[in-house]
Order: sequence, then C-alpha cells, then structure tokens
Amino acid sequence: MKFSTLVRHIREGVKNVFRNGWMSFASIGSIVVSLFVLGVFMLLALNVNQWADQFDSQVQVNVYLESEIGQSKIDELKTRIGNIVEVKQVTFVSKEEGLEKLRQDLDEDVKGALDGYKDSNPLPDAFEVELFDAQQVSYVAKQILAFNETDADKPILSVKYGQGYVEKLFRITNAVRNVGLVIVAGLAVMAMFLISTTIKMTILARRREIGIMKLVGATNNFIRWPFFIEGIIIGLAGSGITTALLLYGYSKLIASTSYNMGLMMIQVVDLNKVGWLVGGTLVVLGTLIGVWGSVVSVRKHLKV
Amino acid sequence: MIEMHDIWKTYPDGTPALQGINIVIDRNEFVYVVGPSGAGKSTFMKLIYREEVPTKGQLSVNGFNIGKLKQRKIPYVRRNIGVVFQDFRLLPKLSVYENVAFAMEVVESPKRQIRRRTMEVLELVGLKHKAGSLPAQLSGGEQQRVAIARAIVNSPSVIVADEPTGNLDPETSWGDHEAARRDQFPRYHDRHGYAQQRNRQHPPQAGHRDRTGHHRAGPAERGLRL
Repeated sequence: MKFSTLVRHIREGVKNVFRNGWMSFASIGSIVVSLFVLGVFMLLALNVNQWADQFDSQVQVNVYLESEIGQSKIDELKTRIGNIVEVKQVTFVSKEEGLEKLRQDLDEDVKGALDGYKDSNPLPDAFEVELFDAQQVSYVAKQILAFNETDADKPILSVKYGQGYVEKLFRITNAVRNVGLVIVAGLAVMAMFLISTTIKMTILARRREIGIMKLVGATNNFIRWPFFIEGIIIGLAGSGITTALLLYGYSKLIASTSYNMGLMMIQVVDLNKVGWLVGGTLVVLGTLIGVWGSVVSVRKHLKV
Repeated sequence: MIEMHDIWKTYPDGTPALQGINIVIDRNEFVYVVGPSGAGKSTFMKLIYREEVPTKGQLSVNGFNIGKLKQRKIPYVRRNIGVVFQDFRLLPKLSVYENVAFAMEVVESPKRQIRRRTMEVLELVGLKHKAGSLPAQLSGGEQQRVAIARAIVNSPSVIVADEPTGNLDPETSWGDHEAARRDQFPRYHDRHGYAQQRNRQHPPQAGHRDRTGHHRAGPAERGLRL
C-alpha cells in the first residue's frame, strides 16, 4: 500500500465518523454506558479489596516462649523466624512490655489489679511476627512450632494467631474479592457484547455501501482500513469520555466523603493509585472492542 | 475480449436465467442486448463483472477466466470494467466528486491526477457545477450521469451499462441515450478503442425471445436478443 493511500484511509476513517453521525453517536454512547458501569464496579471492587487487605493485615502470629531460655536462645529464635521467607518482621516483646501493653488495654479502675504481678509476672516472653501475606499465617505458625522438634530445649510454649477466627475472616475476605472479580469480569463480557452488537448494527446499515465499493473494484483491505480507523476513533472517544467522567466523579466522591469514611475507620483507595489502572483498562478495552467490532462486522459483508 | 461459451445460469431458488449463451465481443464493438423483462439481460451483465457466477460454461473477460477467478483477484478484473448499474448504486454519503474519485482512489492513482481526471469527467457529463452535491440532491438523470462518469473515469477497456435509462421517463431517456451514444461513449470509443455494451430494451425488438440468439448487426454495432 502506498503511503498516500494510508493517508487517504485515515482521512476517510475520520470523515466516516462524521458522515455516519448518529451511528457513531450510538456506538460511542453504548461504549460510554457499558464501560461506565464496568468502571464503577472496578472502583468498588478495588475499594472492597483494600478493605479486605486491611482486615487481613491486622492478622499476626504471636509466638510465646518458655521462661528461662536465655538471651542467646531468644536471639537465635528471632533470626530463625526472621529467615522464614513469608515473614516480614519479627518484634520481640518481653514479658514486662507484655504486661505494660495489657495494663494500657484495661480500664482505669481495674488497672490496679495487675499491680501485684509486677514481681511475679505470669506472662511469657513473646515474638510478634508480621507476614507479607496474612493468608500464610497458619503455615508459618506450623513452621515456627516445628522448631521445637529440632531443639532439645523445646523453647516455644505456644503459637497463637487467632486460630478458627482467622480462617473465617479469610473465607469472608476471599469471598468478597471473588464476588468482585466475577462481577467485574461479567460486566466486561456484557460490555463487549453490547458494544459489538451496536457496532454490528451500524455497519449492517452500510452493507450496501460496502457492496458498491466492491463492485467498483475495491479490494477487501481497501474497504477495511477506514473502518479500522473509525473503530479506533470511536473506541478511543467512548473510553476517553468514560474515563474522564468516572475519575472526575470518583475524585469528587473522595473529597466529599473521606471525613465520614475516616470516622468509620475505612480508608478509600487513593485516586492516583487506581486512576491509571481503571483508566488504562477502560481505554484499552474500549479501543480493542471498537476495532474488533468494526473489523469483524465488515468482514461479513465483503463477499460481493 | 468478452467470450461466452455455452453459458448457463440458474439462480439458487431454481429460476433459470440464461440457457446456453454463446457470444464473442471484440474490441471496439458496441453491442445492445435486448429482450423483455425477465429475459436475463441483467444476469448476462452481472456475469461480466462477476456479481454473479455462471452455473455452467466458459466465460472470459479481458483474458480472465471469470468462472474460476479467485476471490482475491475479483477487484482487479472489475477495475477494467466500467459499470453503469441499473439503479446507479452511488455511495449515498459521498458527494458527486467523491463518488467518481472513489473509483480512482481504489486503483491508487496519484492525488493530483485524481483531481484533474475527476473534474474532466464531470465536465464531460455536464455535472461539474454539482461536484459537491450528494446523490440524493440530484435528479434521476443527473445521478445516472454521475454513474456514467464513475464508469469511465478509469478509462476501462469494457463498459457495461445495465438499462441505465430504464428508470427515466421516455423523453429524458432518449435524450440521455443519444447523448451517450453520439457524444460521450463514442468519443472514448474512437480515442481508445473500447468495446462497449449497452443494455437497452429496444421497443420494436422486445417481446421476441430467442435464447441462443446472436447475430451480427454490423462490423462495430450489433445486437444480442435474449
């Protein structure tokens, strides 16, 4: 193909968007509507995911140690736990610190009840173990407990991570994530179907024109190119409008509700964090559907 | 140039259209195809530019075996055949100029040449002043002339005109016909030596049906009765 022909195809593609004004409007409209719904649910799912992550991240492993195991043993255990790949951070909490934490959690009038334990502290020394992925908690707990088997001193008293409760929490947060994913995927498929159907119908109306072009001696590619360009323009326009509307709306929403949400201990996902992800997904998806829809629909009418 | 040997055409619904047509049309020949409605005149034309494929028989146009032509090759055969369709078939959203220029864009002519030649042809059919109009804004006769302009713009070696005046009232019809005969077509005819075909229902001959009919009317002008 000559370069001037490529220029011609691009020019015709742009012109066709305007020549078929209402049809283009219908296609862009269907892209905006379907991608907007998809985008809203993507933002919702991303926020719900963040909440789920927040809940998960509060999960940690507490490792309680036998008393009288000596500082060197404590240091050795700390290193060994720190060496487990899933572990992010290990903090040693001595029994004195443990008691102090407990005191702070109690109400003012009952704090005195703990005073008697100053000299005979019943609490064990402990490690607080944070993980990269909270869902690995039971696996890591098992690994830590297994240290007892290779150590004659059996230095670990017990490992606690909210057994039973944690599993339930994870079931819920995972379910929430999966439902979000299924809804978003379902909506994406629906959007693709809706948009490509609209485009198909707008091109069906031009079937006669395609036939005439072929009878005048145009090759399939010659006819296809302007449709391809047209598909890109319509896809970009539709998804661009959607992204602008969606992200503008979201930023307004964050600004007006962040105070209330903060009170409920809920953190809204920052616009900068999701803007590119959501915008990029919508634009890529919209453009692909636009191109795919027009190229596939044209193909059906080319056999003249 | 156009050769048909024992051409048969039956449409998928079983309607027989052509039965055993034999004809050879050479360069410079001007051939009328006449016959009553439903005689198969349009089918005969459609075979030439490969809108339809013969059910049986040998058909060659400009050396291409039309019956065995690959899908990919079809456009290249059509580029050498200028067709004036019965219903004109102009692109409704393109202007008169763009409709004629389209046929030249298809063959990737240089832009400047497209502009020059398109205006030249529009002037020839007397529609230079309507270059920017849409087909819907033109009268039937004007639309027909746009169709003629598009058919001749690439100087094809064959011109097929399928009842181009069939939809016009008799007065306009005769006028257009004479204009085409005496002025436009022969001018190209003489200069480049084209074979042209014009499909018209010629009143005196209509009604008589002779399927295999093929007779010589003269060295450069003859008729085929269907």
